[in-house]
Amino acid sequence: MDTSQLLKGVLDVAVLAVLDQEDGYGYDVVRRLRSAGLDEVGDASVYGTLRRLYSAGALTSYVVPSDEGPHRKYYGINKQGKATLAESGKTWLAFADTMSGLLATPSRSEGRR
Amino acid sequence: MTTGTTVARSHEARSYLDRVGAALADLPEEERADLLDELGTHVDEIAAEGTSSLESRLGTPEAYAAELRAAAGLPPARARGRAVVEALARLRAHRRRPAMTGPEEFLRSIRPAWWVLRAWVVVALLTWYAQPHWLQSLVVVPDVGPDGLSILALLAAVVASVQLGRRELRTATATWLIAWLNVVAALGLWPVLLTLNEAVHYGAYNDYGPRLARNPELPREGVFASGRQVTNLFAYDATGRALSDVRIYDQKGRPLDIGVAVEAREVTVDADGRAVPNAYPYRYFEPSVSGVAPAAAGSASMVVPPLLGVPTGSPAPTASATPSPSPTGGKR
Repeated sequence: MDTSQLLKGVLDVAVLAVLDQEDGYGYDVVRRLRSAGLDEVGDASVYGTLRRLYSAGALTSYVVPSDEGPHRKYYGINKQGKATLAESGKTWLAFADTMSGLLATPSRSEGRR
Repeated sequence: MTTGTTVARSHEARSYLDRVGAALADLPEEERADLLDELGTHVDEIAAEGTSSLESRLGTPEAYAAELRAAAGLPPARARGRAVVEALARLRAHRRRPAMTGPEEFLRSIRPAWWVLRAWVVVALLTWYAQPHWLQSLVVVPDVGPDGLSILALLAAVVASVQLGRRELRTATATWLIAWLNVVAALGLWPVLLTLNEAVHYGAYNDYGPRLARNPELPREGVFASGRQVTNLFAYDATGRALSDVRIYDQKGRPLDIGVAVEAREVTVDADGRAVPNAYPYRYFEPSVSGVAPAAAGSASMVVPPLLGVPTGSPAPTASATPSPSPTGGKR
């Protein structure tokens, strides 16, 4: 199955989750998502998602001068973002649970819990 | 910043950015600049990794732009992927934009026109009351002195206004200035336009001063005295007696027709049956009566004293009363 289709629905949650660990700039978020296993995540999708979440008020943003290159625009999660993450996280876990049940692979969903 | 690796962007990176920029051309400038700014840093970092070409790493610029739009929740330009298809779609979207995306986008698209207009309105307002004949002073190039200076002042104001509009100046003072400029120009627009309209339409006919002499005169029909149209001519002979049916010719021997109210005049005909348009005074039909006003209508109460040094009782020789019809004959 094409993971990129699945990714579309959960990229918001994934980005929020990554930023919940630590603030990051665009490319940094891309790398962390990939190293977490979301290999197919597109750079543009991550940048676009960051922008949309920021516009929606779920993220804060600040510019940090960098020694080795251009100034970077960092994003951090705020209270609203955390609330969204908690809410979406719950939805996702319930959904994953349901899917796991349907696919009869209970071991994985139990592992998550 | 300290190392020069990312400051000098490669040709590849610049062209990639340009193409993404083109694919985002329909977005509001501020948003577009913001997106490109962030992408610039991104591209620089990828270039610094130096492993592969930008396109193999990020996809085509058009695909990148389309993905960015989709993820950022921005309206798609059109079918994604094909560069040509997208370029055409962008062109179409661009052309259709003012009508299709509502008043806000339309207003945004005519903002440059407003920048020029407000500069003009503000200069016009500044010069307006400073002039003695302010109604007349308000012309297309507001008058601040000699013509050359006026044009320069207007151009300077336009440049300043456009630069303010493009937010080339981002200081707090500039923002404050822009707000006031817009308010003043918006309030002043209507009176300034009305006055200009008036000045353009009626300026040439009013007696407001020497400026009028510069305005080209419109070609006019008829005879004018002190700027007012002559509607009739009354001739008196040397003794002060009113004459009727005096035929008057101009310097070239042409019958002088003062050219007014032709339909309200009684037609005079000569012995050959031709209409005589230059027999004065005209006999006008009274507006409410179907008859004809007396020949000396309008001058009945007028008393013209006889001239000095002219023998009374003997009018001018009759020969002069019948002017020669040909200009050559009249020449001496």
